[in-house]
Amino acid sequence: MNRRISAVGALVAAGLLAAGCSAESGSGSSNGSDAGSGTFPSGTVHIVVGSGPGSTMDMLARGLAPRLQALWGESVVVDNVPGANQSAAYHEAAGADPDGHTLFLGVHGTMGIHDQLGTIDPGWQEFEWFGTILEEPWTLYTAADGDIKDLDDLLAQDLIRYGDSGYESPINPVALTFFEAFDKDFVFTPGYDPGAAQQSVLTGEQHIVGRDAAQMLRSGTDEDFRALLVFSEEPSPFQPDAKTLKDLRDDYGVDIPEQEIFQLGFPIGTTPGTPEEIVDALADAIITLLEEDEEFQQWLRDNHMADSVLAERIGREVTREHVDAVTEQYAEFGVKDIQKRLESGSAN
Amino acid sequence: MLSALMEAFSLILTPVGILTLIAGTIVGLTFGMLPGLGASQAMILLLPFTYGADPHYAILLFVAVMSSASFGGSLPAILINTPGTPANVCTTFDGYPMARRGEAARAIVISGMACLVGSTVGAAALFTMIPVISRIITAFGAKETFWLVVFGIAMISLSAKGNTLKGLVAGGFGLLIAFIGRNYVFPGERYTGGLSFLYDGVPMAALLVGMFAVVPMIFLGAKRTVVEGVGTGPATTALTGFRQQSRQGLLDVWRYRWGALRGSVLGVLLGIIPAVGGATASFVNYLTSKQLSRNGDEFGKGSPEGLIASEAANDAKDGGALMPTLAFGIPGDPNTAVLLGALLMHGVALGRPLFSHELSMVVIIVLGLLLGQLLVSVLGMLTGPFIARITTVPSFTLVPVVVMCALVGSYLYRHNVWDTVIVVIAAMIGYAFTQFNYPVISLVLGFLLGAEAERALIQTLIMSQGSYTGLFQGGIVWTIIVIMLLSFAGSYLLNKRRSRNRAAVPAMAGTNGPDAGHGPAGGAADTPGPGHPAGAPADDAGEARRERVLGTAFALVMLACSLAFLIGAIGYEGNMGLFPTGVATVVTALLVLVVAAELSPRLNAVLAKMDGGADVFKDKGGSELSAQSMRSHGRILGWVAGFTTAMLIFGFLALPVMISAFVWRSDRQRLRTALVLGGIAAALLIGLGAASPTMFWPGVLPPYFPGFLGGGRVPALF
Repeated sequence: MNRRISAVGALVAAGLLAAGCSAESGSGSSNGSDAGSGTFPSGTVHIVVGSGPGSTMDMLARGLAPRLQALWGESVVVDNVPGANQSAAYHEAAGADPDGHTLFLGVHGTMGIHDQLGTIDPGWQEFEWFGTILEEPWTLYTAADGDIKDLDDLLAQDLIRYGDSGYESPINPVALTFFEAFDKDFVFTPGYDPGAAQQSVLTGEQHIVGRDAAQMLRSGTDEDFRALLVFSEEPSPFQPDAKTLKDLRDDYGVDIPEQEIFQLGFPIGTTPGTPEEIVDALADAIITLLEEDEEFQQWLRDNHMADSVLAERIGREVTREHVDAVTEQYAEFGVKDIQKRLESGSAN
Repeated sequence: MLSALMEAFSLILTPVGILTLIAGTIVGLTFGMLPGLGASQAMILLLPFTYGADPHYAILLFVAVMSSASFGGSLPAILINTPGTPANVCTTFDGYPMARRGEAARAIVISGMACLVGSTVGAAALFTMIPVISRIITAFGAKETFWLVVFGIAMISLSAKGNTLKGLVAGGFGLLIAFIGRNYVFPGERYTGGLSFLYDGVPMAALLVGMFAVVPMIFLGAKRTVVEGVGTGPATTALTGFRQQSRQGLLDVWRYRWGALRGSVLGVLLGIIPAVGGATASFVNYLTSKQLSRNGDEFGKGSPEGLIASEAANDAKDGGALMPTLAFGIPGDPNTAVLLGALLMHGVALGRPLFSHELSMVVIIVLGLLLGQLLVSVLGMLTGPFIARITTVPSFTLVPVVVMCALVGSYLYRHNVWDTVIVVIAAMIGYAFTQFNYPVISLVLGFLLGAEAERALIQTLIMSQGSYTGLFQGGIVWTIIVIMLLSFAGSYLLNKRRSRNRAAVPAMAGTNGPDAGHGPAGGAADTPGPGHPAGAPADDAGEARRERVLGTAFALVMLACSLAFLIGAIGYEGNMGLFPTGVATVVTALLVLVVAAELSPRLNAVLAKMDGGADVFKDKGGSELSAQSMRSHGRILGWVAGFTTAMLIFGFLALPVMISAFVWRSDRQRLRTALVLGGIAAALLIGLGAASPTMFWPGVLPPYFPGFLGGGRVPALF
C-alpha cells in the first residue's frame, strides 16, 4: 500500500515538476509580483473585462492590449469575465496581487450603482482607478423608420415605453431624470440583452433605448436609429441633430443640469493596494499611447473614439474626482429605491 | 451582387484564401471534436493572431471555424456517445447506436452530408434574404419569442412520450434549474444560496458537458471498448466495408432529403431568434422530425433519419444566427457573439453600411460557411475509417481523456473554475436520471428554454401592463399557435395510428428485435425499473425489490428537492415567484404520483396503460442497477470527482498526472501507455497555456511556483 502511494506521489511530483520546468522555459512570461522592484511590468498584464467579446468595453480592451504590449514588451491579454453585471470581473481584479499586473475596465455608472447597492467589495472608491478611457454622453434613440420622428413625438406619447437590461443599468437614473423633468408616465421593461434592447426599438415594442452618442456609429447601425436627445449641454459631433440639455431649457423650459452620471464612461483601474508609482506608470502608458502611438490614434479614429478618449481624463487625481462626483450624484438621486420608481411607471 | 460574388471568389481562390479556409476548417474540426470545446473557444483563441491581418481573410478564418466545429462535434457523439459540442447531443441518440452496430463510417458520412445540406440551406437563406433581412428580424418581439419558446417547451411532453410522467418531472426540473440565478427581468437573484458563481445561472456548458459527456463515460468505464462484443477485430467498424457504408450513407441522405431540407429551414428560423443556439435548434428539429416521420419509432435506435434531423438543423442555424448579427449587431448565439467581436475588432461596419458598401464581406461569410463545411465534410469522410478506430480503443484510455476535455472545456466557457464542480454535480444527476429512467433530454430542454420563456412572458406582461391579452396579439403569434396546435394534433393522430399498427402485429419483439436483452430501460410506461408492469421473473425478485427501493428513494429525494424549490418560490415577491411556484407545484404533484407508482405496481400498470406511444430514448444509456454495475459506475464517478479536485487545487497540469494514474490503476501492465498518454496530454495543455495564458487554469500553485503557466485566478465563491 505504501509503495503504491509513494509511486503515485512520485508520479504526481515528477509530472508537475517537469511541466512546470517546461512552462518556465517555454512561455517566457510570468505573473511576477516584483513589480515594485523597478521594472514594470515584469510579466503578463491582464485586462479583465466584465462582458463577453463584442461589447464596447471588450473592444476598448482589445484595442489597448496590442499597443500596450508593444510599448511594454510584455504580454497583455484580455480576460473576459462576464457575470453579475460586471461585478464578477471587478472582484477578480480586486482580489489579484496588488502589483499592477491586473487591470479592470468597467463602466462608471454600473460600478457606482453597485457601490450604492452594496454589491461590490471593496467599494469602488477604494479601487485604484487611473483613468477614464472613453466617455460619451448618454443618448436616447428611437427607430429611424418608426412613428417617432423627434422629441416632440416622443413627448406626445401618453406612455413612453422604454427597455433595457436590468434595474441597475446606468441609463435608468438618466431616463428617470428625463421622465421626472417632463412629468411623463412610462413603462420600463427590463431583462433585455444589450443587442435585444436595441432590437426591441426596431420591432416597435419599445419607443426608446439609451446608448452612448457614438454607439450606433461604432456598430454600423446608425442609419437604423434616430438620436432624439443627447444628455449634454453641447451638441454631440456624432449626433448633431439630436436635442441637447440646452435645447430642453430653450425650447421646452425644462432645466436638467448636466451631471457626471449623464456620461457613459469607461474607467480603468487596478487592484487596491498597488503602489502609487505603478498606478502612475499605468496612467503614463495610456497617455503615451494617446499622444504618441499613431497606430492607436488611427484605431481610435476608425472606431469613432478619437474625440471621446482624451489624455486629460487619464490620471489618478482626475479619475478620483470623477468617481467622487458620480458617487455623490447617485447618492443624491437615490439609487436604492430605483426599482420602485421604475416599477411605478409614474414620473412622480 | 454579382460583382460582390466575383470579388469574394477572387479573394478566397488565392493561396492565402485557400490556406485560411483549410486552417479554419482544421481548427474548427479539432475544437469541435474535443468534448466541451467548440467554435467560440477556438475563435477567441485565434482572435489575437488575426490582429493586423486583412479583415476579409480574418473573417473567412472565423467563419470556417464556426461552420466546421459542428461536424467535428458529431464525430465523438457518433463514436463514443459523447457530443463534442452541446449542439451535437441529439447526434448521440442515433449516431452512437449506429457505431455500436458497426456502422460508424456510415454514420459519419450521413453526419457530414447532413451538415453540408444544413450549411448550404443556411448559407443560401442568408444570401437570398439579404434584401429583406431587417424586416424578418424586426417582426420578432417578446410575445413572438414567448410563443416560439412555448412551442419548444411543449416538445418536452413529446420527448417523453411513453414515459410521460417521469419526462414531465425531468422537464420540470430543467425549468427549475433554469430559474437559478439572476433573470434580469427581475430585480434580484433566486436559488443561488449566496454562491456568486451561480449569479448568472447554472452555466449551460458545464451542465451539458456533465450530463452528455461525463455520464456516457461512467457507463463506458465499465466496459472494455465502445463496441464491445461487435465484430472480431479492431478493423470491424473501420476499414472493412467502408466504401459500402459510405455509399449507404449517401443514399440515406438522398432518401431523407426532404427531412433534411425541412430540418434545415427550421434550423435557419430558430437561428434567427437571439438566444436560441444550435443545441435548441437540434433538439426541436429532432423531436419534430420524430413526430412527423413514419419511422418515428426508430428514432433513438440508430436511425439515419434521426441523425440527419439532428445535424441538418444544427448546421443550418448558423445561417439564421448570422442574420441579426450582420444586420443589427445582435448575435444569435455564442459563436456569432464572438464573430461579432471579431468583425468589430477588424473595423467591419455592420447593418446597412455592410450590406450597401461591404457586400463582398457578406458574400465571403456566406461562402466561408459553405466552403468550410464542404471541406470539413470531405476531410471527415476521408478520414472517417481511421477516426472510427476510436471505437475500438480501450475504455480505460478513452475515459480519462474525455473527462479531461470535459473539465477543460467547461472552464473555458467562461473562465470560472467553479463551473467544473457543476460538471460533477450534473454528471451525478444525469447518471441518477438515466439509472431511474427520467429522460435527461427533457431536463435539458426545460433548462435551455426556461429562462427565456419566463423573460419573454414577464416582458410581454409588463408591456401590456399586466394584461394577458397582450400575449395573443399579432399575426405571427397566431401563426405560431396554429402551427403548434396542428403539430400536436398531427402527432396525436400519428401516434394513434402507430398504436393501432402495433396492436395488429403479434407481440414478437423481445426475442429477435434489435433491442432484445438490451438493459431494462424503457421508460416508466414500459419498464421503469421497480414498476415494470409485466413483472420481473421470479429468480430476479430480490433484484427487482432492490431496484424498487432505490427508485422510490430517488423519487423521494427529488420530491424533497421540488418541495425546497416550492418553499423558496413562495418567498419571492411578485412575478419573481410566479413561474417557479407554478412549475414547482406541478413537479411536486407529479412526484407524489411517481412515488405512489413506485410503491404500487398496480398503479404503475394503470399509468403505463394510459401512457401510449413509444419511447425513443429507451435505448439511451440504459439503466444498470445491479450492485456490481453501480460499484463500477461509482468508481468512475469517484475518479471524475478526483480529477476535478486535483484540477481545482493544482490546475490543468494535474490532469495529465490523473490520466496516467487512471490508466495505471485500471491496468497495471500499462505503465508505459499511462505515461505516454499523460505526456501527450501535458504537452497539449502546456501548448494551450503558452498560446493563451488566460485559457489556462494554474490552480493554487502560482504564488508558490512563480513562472507556472496560466493566468486564471480563483473567482469569488460567495
